Amino acid sequence: LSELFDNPGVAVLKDAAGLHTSTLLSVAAENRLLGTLAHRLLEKLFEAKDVLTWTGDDVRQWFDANADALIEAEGTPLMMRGFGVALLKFKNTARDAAVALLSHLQAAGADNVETEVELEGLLDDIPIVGKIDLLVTLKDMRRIAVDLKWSNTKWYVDLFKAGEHLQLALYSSLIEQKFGQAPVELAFFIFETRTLIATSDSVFVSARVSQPPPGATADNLLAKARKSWAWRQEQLAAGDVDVVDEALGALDEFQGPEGTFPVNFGGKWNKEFVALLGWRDGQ
Amino acid sequence: MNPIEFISAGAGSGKTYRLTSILAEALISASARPAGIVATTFTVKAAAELRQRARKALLDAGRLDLATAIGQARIGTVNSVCGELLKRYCFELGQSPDQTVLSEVECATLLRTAVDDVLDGTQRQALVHFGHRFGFENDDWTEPVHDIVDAARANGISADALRAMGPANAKAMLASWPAPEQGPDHTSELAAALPDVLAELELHVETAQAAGKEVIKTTTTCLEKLRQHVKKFGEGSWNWGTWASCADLNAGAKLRAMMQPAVDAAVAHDRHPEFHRNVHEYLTLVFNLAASALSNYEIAKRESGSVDFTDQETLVLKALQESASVRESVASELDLVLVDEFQDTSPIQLAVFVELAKLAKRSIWVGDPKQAIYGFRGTDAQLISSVLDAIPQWGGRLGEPLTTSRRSVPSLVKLVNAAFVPAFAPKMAAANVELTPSRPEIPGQTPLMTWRFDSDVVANDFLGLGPAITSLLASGIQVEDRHTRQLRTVQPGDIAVLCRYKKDVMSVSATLHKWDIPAVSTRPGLLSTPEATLVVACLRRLYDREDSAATAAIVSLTGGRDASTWVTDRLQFLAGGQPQGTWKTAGTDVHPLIQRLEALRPQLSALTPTEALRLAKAESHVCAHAAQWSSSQKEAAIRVANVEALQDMAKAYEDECRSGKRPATCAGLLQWLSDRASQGQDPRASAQGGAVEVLTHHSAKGLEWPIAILTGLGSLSRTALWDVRARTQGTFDAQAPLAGRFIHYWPKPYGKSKPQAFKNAEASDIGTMMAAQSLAENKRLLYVSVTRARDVLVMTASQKNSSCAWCDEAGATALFFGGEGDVKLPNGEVVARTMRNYSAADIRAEPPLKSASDRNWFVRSPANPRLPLWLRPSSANAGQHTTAEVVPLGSRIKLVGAVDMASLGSALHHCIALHFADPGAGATLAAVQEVLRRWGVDTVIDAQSALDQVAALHVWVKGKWPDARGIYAEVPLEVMLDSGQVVRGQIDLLIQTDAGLHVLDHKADPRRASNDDRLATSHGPQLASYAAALTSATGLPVLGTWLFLPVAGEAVRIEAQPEPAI
Repeated sequence: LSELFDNPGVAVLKDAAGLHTSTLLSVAAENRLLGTLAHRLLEKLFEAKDVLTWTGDDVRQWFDANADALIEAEGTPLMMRGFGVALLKFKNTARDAAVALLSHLQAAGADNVETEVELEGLLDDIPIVGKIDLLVTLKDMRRIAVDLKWSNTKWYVDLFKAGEHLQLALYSSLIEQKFGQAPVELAFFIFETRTLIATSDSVFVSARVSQPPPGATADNLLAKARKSWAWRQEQLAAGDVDVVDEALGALDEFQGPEGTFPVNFGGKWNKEFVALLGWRDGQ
Repeated sequence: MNPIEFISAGAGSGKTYRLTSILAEALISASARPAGIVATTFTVKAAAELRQRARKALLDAGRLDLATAIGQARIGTVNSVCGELLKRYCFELGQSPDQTVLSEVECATLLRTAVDDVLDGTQRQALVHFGHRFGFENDDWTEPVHDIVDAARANGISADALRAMGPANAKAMLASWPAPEQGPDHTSELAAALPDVLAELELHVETAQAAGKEVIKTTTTCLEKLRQHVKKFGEGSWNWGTWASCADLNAGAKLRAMMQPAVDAAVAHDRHPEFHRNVHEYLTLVFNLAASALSNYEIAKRESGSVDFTDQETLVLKALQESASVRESVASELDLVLVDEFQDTSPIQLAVFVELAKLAKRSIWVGDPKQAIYGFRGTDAQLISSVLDAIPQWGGRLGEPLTTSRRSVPSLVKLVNAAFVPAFAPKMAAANVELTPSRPEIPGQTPLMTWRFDSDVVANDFLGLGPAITSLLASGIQVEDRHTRQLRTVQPGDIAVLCRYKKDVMSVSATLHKWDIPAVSTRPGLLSTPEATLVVACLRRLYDREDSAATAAIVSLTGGRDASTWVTDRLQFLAGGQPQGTWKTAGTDVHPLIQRLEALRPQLSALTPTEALRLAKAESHVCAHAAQWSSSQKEAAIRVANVEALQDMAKAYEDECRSGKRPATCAGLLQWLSDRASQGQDPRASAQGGAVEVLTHHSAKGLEWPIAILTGLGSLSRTALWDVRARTQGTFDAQAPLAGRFIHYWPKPYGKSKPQAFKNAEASDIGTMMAAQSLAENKRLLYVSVTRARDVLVMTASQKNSSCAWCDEAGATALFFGGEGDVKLPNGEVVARTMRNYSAADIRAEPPLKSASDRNWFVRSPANPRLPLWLRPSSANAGQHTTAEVVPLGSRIKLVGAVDMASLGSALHHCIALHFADPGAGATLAAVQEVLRRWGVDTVIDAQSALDQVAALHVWVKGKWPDARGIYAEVPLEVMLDSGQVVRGQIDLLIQTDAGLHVLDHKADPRRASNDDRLATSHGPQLASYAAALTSATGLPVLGTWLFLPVAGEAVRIEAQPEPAI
């Protein structure tokens, strides 16, 4: 969605024109590889029976017994000669993070943890699908959505602070549509610093709290998303595809009507697709 | 010790000239045989220049034999010379004569593997544990091991000796810490105190907030820190930086007592037994690992049958020290050892030079101790200076230093003298620092400028360079042209901006780019240029037909159509429901390039990645596209250079794979390219010439520019106490400079915190010594930087902070920045200075608006008609020319019988060339007869007449241009014109005077010029194209073009007619 909101030109190339890079080249960059591996390890961990009753040492033992096989199967670059210290650092970080995350969940009174939960729902009449990293059910049946990230603690702290956590707000809506009740907390968990970032300390008492500004509720974020969606759809229906790029003007020239999400210049990830939309002087 | 001489050569004092003279004199006087010379330089380029200049000097001295024989001299970098010596003595050393020499990247990969291989599980865990305790979390924890291995090799330290250095370093470091205090459990005490203090502070803050009182920022920051510390001690993830931070907890003056229990518990960190254990065990481990890695690395190289640069030096040193037959042979063969940039030699190279000096008949070392700036690369200035001090004791001598500056204008030389005589005192006498100017001042010009930037953040100062350099270029300031030595207006290529760090180079380049000032620097982004994108897209499409993004890139870049056109096309294709990979490959909509790539795919499995990339490049016709995307020849050349840089990257990938013993594949190459691009390690090709050069202060060494702009002057020297460095322990023996070498390494234990024990370490004897060494090196770096400017020096500073800290260290801030207006030197002389302040608003200023920018789709411009690459002046036929003057010259030569005019012309050309090749001796009658005979025209003309005409020409030339600085016969000429065509030809006779050049072309035409324009019409264009090419190559004006008609007995001046006005 953020692609469509921020740069419809890129969204059209990817979604409508179906352009993609070769899957044979999709060995992820280092941080993404580490993040994916850590995700997979947690997924396996939470499949273990009674994991929520485990002590830190239990988690460590499980980790030492299971991590190598998974890394061997899915993290080949880390097994290469010369990467011994990097592998060890990864294992240490992932192990300590698993211990820390479990202790946060236990302290919050988690009763059940599901990983990679795919939920379907609607944003008004638009069908949406979300894959929630961790869907935690507390003993009192209240729910929490946690998104797992490898690094960049500050970035996610600031995301909450700025009230721009649309991804988690959408999860909130999907959970509400599915279970009839919105989650009581939304959180990011950062492996590298073992930090759980939440919007309050009401559920996760020892979380790092980063409070969104007043009014940046999930409902309001979704309302903004609807407006942004409507605005972009209206443009597309009229045959207009906005190309957002620094070469074409200042950021304020690309903003939508009142109530839509602010439009940002894209990061480095879409460079290849932005290039397909034309080249800047001096390139 | 045989005779040895050291020549100190100050910055810009004509060192290369002196080296050339030494080399040429030694050869001419026969004190050195060509094959008995070894000359080492710092770079390959310097070696080539030295050889070329020496050859020219020998030619000027008329020693053609020596000029040819100089090829036998071993002139090159230390490595290449050592490589040659290794080959020469391979049998004595038991080495293969054909060594594979590893590149730096290959060495790094091999070493990385060697280090990793020596780590067993426990050691790896321990290394990670200690790395965490000392807060190295975000760094490569194996970096110190690599650095220690490098230092051990550069200092000839064995693995066994290395093992003993870990505990020795630990002992030396911990001497600054209080003795460990056994008994109390310091960790439990702090872990217990922290939660109590946190609870108290939280209660205090909540109470205050509940009462509506404002909580100060110091308190909230401290609260957040405390929470982090409690968490870390709770989960056992604390490090020594956490302890130091706890000892500094500050929630505000009023809450000091509340923090005290935690502070009291934390200050015990310096006597914590675990800290002492950690330091000891860590250093022991790191040095042991380095020792094992050193052995493993040697084995790995032996197994792969290769050597690295250091091996070459080590093996040569070993041979010189241990093999009697090698010593004997070197002593009989080596006549002269010449070392350039002596101050930059590594310890092991120094040992090689000392050994060579014992054997060679004569050694001359040339260098400038004031320019020793490579401590971070393992050079030890202290070692060099100790060896130099020992030279007189060896019966050697310190030669006459070179003290005349041939580089800078007098004002700058005086300014540098005033700044650096005191800065280098008392270690260096004024006589060893001061230079005497030799160039004239540039009249009416200000040689010193200071620019002060008043930006909000110091890093934003770089933005100010945009408007500042724009206005400098517009000011019309004069510089002396490097080639012509004439004054002219400044151009971007005359300017260099020196930065302290590599990241600053990026910022400056970006600013200059924004202001449309052409800049040369290693700018990343090669993979995002359209030319590289096209080639890579072709390779991707070749590799995988399903890569639709690559297909789209090809369609978009080669079609020159905007996205809406081909996206519509793509949507229609998708609506047709055909397989994805067939887009543009079949039917009426086929794309020729994509179709070709489809057909070539089967070949891919037989190609190496480099070959595949070359195929993709060839098929893409990228060079033709690049030319048509460009608005100038220069732009097209850069685009083509980018494509070549991409091919070089592919080669580098294959080299990496080869040294890592990994398969090199197409997919691997594509992935590697993408990784390099995301890490910003895909440098674009540089715009050569005509652009501002942006580089670091360190890389400016050995270079010069008319204008040097110095930035980053706020950077203080940084002690190397917490880095890996080598030094000599015990008594220094100059004859054995590697004896007693010791590697220093102390881990920086507290991150950014600096508790008392840390300060004690910095104040210790070792700490003080290393700080002094860093300070001295920083001063030398400043000296190097300020002496880069030929005509104008620009010093920049920020208004904020202590932005002149670097100048402060040299005690030169007052001199450069103090007062107002001109600078008054201590000796009373005055250096003109302009000072300019750039306010925050000036810095934020945007460059003048360019025409409305829009994204474009590289529409190919129509191809230009292809001009032939080579342009022969004799076939030129443009312009109107007229006979301006006819001068009778000598007597007409009588022709007897039928004559082949072409042979006659060639014969006369040779006679004239023969005469002017050595004007002192001139051509003899016998020589002229021989030339005529060889050309088969000896029966056609009389040799004496021909000789008389040549002599008459000489007399006329001497009389016409009495001030001629040079008369050159048969001057070869090859010049690239703006059109990309290359003029190639040979000028028959070229006369150079102070005012400019005169060109003479000989024609054997027997007809007199009389007064018609026949000759002017047929030969004028040729002379005009010579004149244009000469001016373009030398910058000198051509004042006259002449035809010499030896047969007709005339000289004819030809003039170009102005184009008629329309």
